[in-house]
Amino acid sequence: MPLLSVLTAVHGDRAEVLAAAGESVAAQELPAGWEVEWVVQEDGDFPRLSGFGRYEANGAQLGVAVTRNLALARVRGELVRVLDSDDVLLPGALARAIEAFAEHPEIHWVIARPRMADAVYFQLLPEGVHARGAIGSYVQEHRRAPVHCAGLTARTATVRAVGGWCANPRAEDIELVAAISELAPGYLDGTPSWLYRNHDGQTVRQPSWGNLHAESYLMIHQRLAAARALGLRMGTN
Amino acid sequence: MPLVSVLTAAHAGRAPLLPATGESLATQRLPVGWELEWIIEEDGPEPALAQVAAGFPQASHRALGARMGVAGTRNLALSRARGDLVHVLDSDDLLAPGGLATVITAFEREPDIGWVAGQADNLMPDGCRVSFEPISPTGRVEAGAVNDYVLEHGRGPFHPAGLTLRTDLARAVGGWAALPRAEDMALVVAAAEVAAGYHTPEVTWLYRQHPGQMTRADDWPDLDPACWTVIRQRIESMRRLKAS
Repeated sequence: MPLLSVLTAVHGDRAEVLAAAGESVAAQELPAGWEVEWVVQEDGDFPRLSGFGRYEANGAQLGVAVTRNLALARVRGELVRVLDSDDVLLPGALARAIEAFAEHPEIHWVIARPRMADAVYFQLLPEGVHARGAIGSYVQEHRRAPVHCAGLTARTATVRAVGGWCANPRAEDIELVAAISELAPGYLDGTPSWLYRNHDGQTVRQPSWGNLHAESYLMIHQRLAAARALGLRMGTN
Repeated sequence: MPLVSVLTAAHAGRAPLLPATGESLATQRLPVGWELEWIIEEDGPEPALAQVAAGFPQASHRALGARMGVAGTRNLALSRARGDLVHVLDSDDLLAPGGLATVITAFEREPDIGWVAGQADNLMPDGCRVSFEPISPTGRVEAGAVNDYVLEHGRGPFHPAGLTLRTDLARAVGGWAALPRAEDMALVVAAAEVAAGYHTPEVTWLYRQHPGQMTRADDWPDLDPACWTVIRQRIESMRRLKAS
């Protein structure tokens, strides 16, 4: 039976919001025949969230990209959907992604738009199928991501082939999305399918978040330029 | 003029060892026309290596001011590389005399290769060198062969420190992977799946054995199996995509 794995990296002080994330996964109605698993990986020296989903702990503070990659190693689904520990899926979120894959068999990834408390998050490319390279070209031209990468569902093998989330200090997920978009077309969903919670504990609101952005984007630009110069299809060439 | 960029990720605790690393670099004799730069990327909130770097005219030091881990630190160093080739040199290791010339000559002799893996000697605390047999046969390695070895043996066919890559290839596969262990093998398998390489019979680097090695920390082995799972999955996934 086909399986979709929801992947959540979390740290110890997020127990309350993690429960809400888990309930939003449990409440999903899937297309006939599909099953879901929730893979939870806890970051930090003193793990305390065991009991949530298919759980493992790093036992050390390793950062979000490493934590997601260790979760990815345990994923059993052919599709993987990332869900940040402080976000929740809206009803129908997983079904919409699965249906997009069924409708467009050529795609390897779907990115869904978030709703915020009082707004819908920007999405700077139109809804629909986007050809190989579309995300990378947008990032190259505008020096920002056209979508929120925390709404990613992708073929598990494609994420693994490019090395998963990147050792990139501020754009580990944008680099991943750019890399898989170089390999295969994908679908941008304009209907909000997850709730992006803004709160003071967000990683992106910590004082240290402000630095290293230019350096992080430089790494993405160099990766795209190099991959294109080499004609690299990462296992597909 | 062709340039090789030597990338060293370091943290403040390596201040006593880094001068010897730099000396081993400063005394390299390169093939005619080649130049080198030494990119020192310092990890950690309390940087202390600027002074060591200042003693080496080829060095370019940057302190990150926060703890990023070795993979992120190397990737930030990679983003500053101006060379056609990048050679990774750990902050506690040394280049062997003639090491870079051996590597560069291999790239010149076989223009289609994307990477060169160097053989090492162990450098013991008393300063003597102890050689060991190459893990796998030396010489040219075709694309995919490294990964056949990894899938069969569950480990790499050479020690991945001491690796040299074409800079474009290293960047195209995303550089060092976000893994707590074996972040360098995860890079090797990506590069070696798409590009042929060369495993030198000559010793190109010296692997310093000392109590402060990261691989000797008490918690080192815990996450090793998970990281090798990631590496195996990366290989299998690349091959699955290729076949589809």
